[in-house]
Amino acid sequence: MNTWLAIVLVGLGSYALRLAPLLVAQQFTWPDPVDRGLRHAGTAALVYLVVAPALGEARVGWPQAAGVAAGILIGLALALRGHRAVSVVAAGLVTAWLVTSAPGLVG
Amino acid sequence: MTALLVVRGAAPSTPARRRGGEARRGATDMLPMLVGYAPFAAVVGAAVAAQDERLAAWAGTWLIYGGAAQLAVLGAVGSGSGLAVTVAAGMVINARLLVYSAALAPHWRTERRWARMLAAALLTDAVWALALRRYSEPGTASQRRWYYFGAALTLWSGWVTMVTTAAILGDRFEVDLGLGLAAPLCLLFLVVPALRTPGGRASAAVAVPVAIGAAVMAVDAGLVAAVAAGSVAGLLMERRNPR
Repeated sequence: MNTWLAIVLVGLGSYALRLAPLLVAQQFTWPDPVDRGLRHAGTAALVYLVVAPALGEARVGWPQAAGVAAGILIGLALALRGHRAVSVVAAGLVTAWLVTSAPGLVG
Repeated sequence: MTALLVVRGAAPSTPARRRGGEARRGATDMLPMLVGYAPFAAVVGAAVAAQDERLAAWAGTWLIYGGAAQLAVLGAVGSGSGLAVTVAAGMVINARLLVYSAALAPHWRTERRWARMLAAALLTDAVWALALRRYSEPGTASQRRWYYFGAALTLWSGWVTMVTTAAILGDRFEVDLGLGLAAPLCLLFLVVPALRTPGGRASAAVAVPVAIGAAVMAVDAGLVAAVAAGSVAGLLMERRNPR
């Protein structure tokens, strides 16, 4: 199969998805429930993009799964308390590493 | 000295200075996300380097402009899937962009066509989330537009640079899997403001089991299902808890 053709087709399709609502926005106004529904849909997409890769990381084994869960929980707690993105990412990564490495460090 | 300070403090804030300030603010807000995306960019770059048609695979970095969709397309190409299956694999993952764009559309209604076309080309998860956060704060349409472009161009240039670097380094570049959680943590940070509303919490609460179910059943359309279910759940929760 032609890699170029696949890349260009997906690229054009993705750009159409990105552009179409922005172009028709001048002609149409979304009803308020649609506007709010779109925000919730976006929230669900972001949550999915957090959970799905985290599951992939956790699938390696139980120490990794525990580490991922701990890292996500610590990151969530810090983000809810208003900490900066760098702190959330750093604390989550360090926690995940510590929990994943704990069995080896202990025994 | 006091007089000097007063004069400096009273210096007129020109439109150009305000635009620059907003663009810098957008770039500054995006930089931590960029750091978080670095491990993911390394994975995408390694996948590009492993392709027979490296230039085409690399072009996907800015043509598709979505790491997960690009990986899906390259994976399908590598496994010898047909064109329809390959394109579908990428489009299913990028379908969420339609939702992001539609949610931003009311804020871009009065913008010129070139601005909307550029904004669309640069739209992705982190840009959408940061833009919505900025739209909830006071500001003019011009300020919000320059914030958007500051954030979006920072991510675009950084992402393409990182993927390109990783693709050039190829198998000489060892990806540290311990950092694979960085990108999800970035997105987690971005999603938190939405969790402060009942509708946002309901949407998130539904998306989690959908993601787990999709992973268990190896369903490719899990993201689309999560988007649909999250939207309905959020609206239903709002109906039960009107403000």
